[in-house]
Amino acid sequence: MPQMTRLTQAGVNRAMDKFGQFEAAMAEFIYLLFLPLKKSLRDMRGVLEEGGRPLEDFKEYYRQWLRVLEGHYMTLFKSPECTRTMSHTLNALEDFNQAKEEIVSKALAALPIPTNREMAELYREIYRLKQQVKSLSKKMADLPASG
Amino acid sequence: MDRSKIPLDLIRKKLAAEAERAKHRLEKAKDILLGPLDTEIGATPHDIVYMEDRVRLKHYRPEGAPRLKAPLLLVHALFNRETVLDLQPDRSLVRHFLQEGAEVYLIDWGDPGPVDRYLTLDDHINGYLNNIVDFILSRHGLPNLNLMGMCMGGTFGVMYAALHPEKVRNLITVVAPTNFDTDKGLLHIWLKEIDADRLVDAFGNVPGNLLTISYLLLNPARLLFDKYVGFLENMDNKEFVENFIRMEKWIFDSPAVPGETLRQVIKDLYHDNLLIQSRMELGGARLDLKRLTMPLLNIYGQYDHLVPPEACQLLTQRVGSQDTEDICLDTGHIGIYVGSRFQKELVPRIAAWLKERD
Repeated sequence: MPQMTRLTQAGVNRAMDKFGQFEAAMAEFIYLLFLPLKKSLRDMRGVLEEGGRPLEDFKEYYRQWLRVLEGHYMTLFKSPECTRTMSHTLNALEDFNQAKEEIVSKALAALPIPTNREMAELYREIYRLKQQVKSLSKKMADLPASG
Repeated sequence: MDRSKIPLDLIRKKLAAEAERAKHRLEKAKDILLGPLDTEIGATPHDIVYMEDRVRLKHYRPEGAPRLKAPLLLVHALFNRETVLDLQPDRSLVRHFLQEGAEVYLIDWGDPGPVDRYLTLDDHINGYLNNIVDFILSRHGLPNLNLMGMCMGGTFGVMYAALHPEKVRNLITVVAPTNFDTDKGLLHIWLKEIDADRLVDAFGNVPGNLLTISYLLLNPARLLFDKYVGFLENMDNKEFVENFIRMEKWIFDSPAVPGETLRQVIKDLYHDNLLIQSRMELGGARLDLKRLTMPLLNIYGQYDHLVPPEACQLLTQRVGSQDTEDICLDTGHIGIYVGSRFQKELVPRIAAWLKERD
């Protein structure tokens, strides 16, 4: 088992921090997603309390509410606040993902298992070689047949 | 104290009647949900005629003798499965084309694994797509074919036709974004703020689940709520249940996207809007839209919130072709693929357009 050195502990703490930040960003984003729901129910309450001719069918209320909800979501999604929060949440997820990767890489370094970083280098090399093989195959196919 | 004006009695009465109906519906639904269901997608008979790495080419034979000389190659987006074009027997774009006498080929981009993370747009356009076109042309002994691209597959089609115009007889783009400088579509707004480098460096290939969540967020009221209300209301209808599950299977089965390809899509298209300005480069060659001199049919949806008309309609003004046509349909993005009315009207119209230019 890899030893829990001070540096390893610092890496784990960093990943936990990043996870906490991601959770906070996610909570904020989910709260934003909840707002149109709240607003649409408030609007519908206003519609019902206004009175007037009652709708014949309960489904009519539902359809009306759905249209109101869609409108609020569209307004939210086009707002800079939503775009910023979404981007912030995604960045927090990316940061957590990378911090987690670092811990896993360090843990695997003591074991005979390749890390994701090592595999990524290998995949890059495979990609480069495949490109070379394809290019050479094409050149060979284009060569005039030797008689 | 004022009495509430909310017609509570009426609502209660209606709710009671609805609850009674729901009880009967549940009893019937139990038999349907516990019984055998046919939920296969992409079920139209086909052969796999070409494979390269993860990419496969499906070939569908027309019903009777082909009535179009040139075969039709369908290119779907990398971001979700091509099976949406053959989702259910009565709403299959592929099947409708076969009935029109077209010989259809469909690209299945497959499941990108970690080994595919370095594949670029150039590898997809000048590599896989070009190899597939060459394979079909050599199989049929023809100099060119009909290319139809849907969504980002249509954008791929435009890129391909700009690089290899001699191999494309007619080009059809369906809800294909080519102008990314618009704030009408939500994806256009959101992706402007996304740091592509950070995203790709963190994930490598961008996971399909992340893409699925972003699609669902485009319309949460319909896609996360109303859709399931619709299911509860119709779960005593076997055909509805089968088609509902088919659609769910498709939605929740988005493949990952090769990281480098997505990096380029976000930067070159969504951030810098290079394609429509003929400033984009692939494999060292500039994509000059004036080289698109073949007939072009450009179809888009008036209510498409994913690829709005503003993202599609500039294309016909920027290409070199004199034979162009725009068709704006009163539907949304997915409606064009799976809406039965649109399939019944659209496919014969496309087939007629192709026949005139065959």
